[in-house]
Amino acid sequence: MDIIKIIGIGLIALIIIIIVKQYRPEFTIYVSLVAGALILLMVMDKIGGIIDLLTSLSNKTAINNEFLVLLIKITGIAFLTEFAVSICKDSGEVAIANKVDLGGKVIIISMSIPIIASLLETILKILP
Amino acid sequence: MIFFKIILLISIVVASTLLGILLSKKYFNREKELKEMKSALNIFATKIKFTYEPIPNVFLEIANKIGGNVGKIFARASSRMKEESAGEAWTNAFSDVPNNLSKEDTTILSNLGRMLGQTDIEGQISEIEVVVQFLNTQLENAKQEKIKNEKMYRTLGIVGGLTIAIILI
Amino acid sequence: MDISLLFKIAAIGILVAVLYQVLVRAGREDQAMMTTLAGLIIVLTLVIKEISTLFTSVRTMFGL
Repeated sequence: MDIIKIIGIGLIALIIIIIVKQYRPEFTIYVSLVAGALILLMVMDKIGGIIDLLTSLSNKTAINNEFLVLLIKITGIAFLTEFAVSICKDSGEVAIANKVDLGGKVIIISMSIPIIASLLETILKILP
Repeated sequence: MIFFKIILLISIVVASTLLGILLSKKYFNREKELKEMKSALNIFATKIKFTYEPIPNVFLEIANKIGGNVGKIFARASSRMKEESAGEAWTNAFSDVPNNLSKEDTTILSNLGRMLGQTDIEGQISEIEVVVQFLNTQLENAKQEKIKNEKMYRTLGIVGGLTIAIILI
Repeated sequence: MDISLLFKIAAIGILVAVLYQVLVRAGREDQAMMTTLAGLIIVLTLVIKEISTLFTSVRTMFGL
């Protein structure tokens, strides 16, 4: 039961943060960082299985394999960006959170340019 | 391996706790030695006022009456007086015997050595009284410092040891 | 790499708070400040290890 573990880590981190906040507010950010990292690391194993399934499926079909790899990369970037953004927001730095968000978005768009280009080419081919 | 680690961690905590207690003892001992030094000087003043014994004998008697580091200082000064002048013996005795007095205390007390055996009885007694007055103010300072620092060093030792142990787990 | 790291950080935080209080009570504000800073840096080094594991595992998983 991995979900029990994840909930346990989350609740324990919450209690620790509430206790530590009274004495040293600086330390709360570390606790939440570690809790986030621990939970994500736990989830990572499951994600590996999902990715394997997706790649094996796409190998059987005629879809271009390149696009799937790109899609997985974009998911990873979104994953990491979300991690950083939520921590920045937690510590009250909304401005930095927005910048990190923006950076993630720009990089995702720049990575998906080949897909957009191939889409446009297909449309042009269909058009008379 | 884990057993070994636990023993190491416990020894770290114990060592730093002992270190804290040792450091806090210094303040306690300073106050004690200042008190002893005060009563020793009072005895000395009375002795030279009413008896006419030579200083080495008086010092030896004081050393026998008052134990501890102060007694050792007097005994050392008395034995040094066989070769040196009274003033030099008194001053050197402070550096010979390890004690917990602060530098300020030692300077003022060794200044007393300059007039030992130099002036008449009245002058010596008045000089001793001045030094005893000074010791009284130092004693007040030592008391305040003791209240402030004794507890701090003790807590610091325990908590510091615990912190190091937790980091190393 | 497990939950004990959380407890470790909490314990260090509380002990540093106690040290700070004791040092301030004894009138040594600057040393108290340094203690807090040292605690923060120690915890940061503990945390950084964890974050780097997370990042490397994400990178290998998604092929970034």
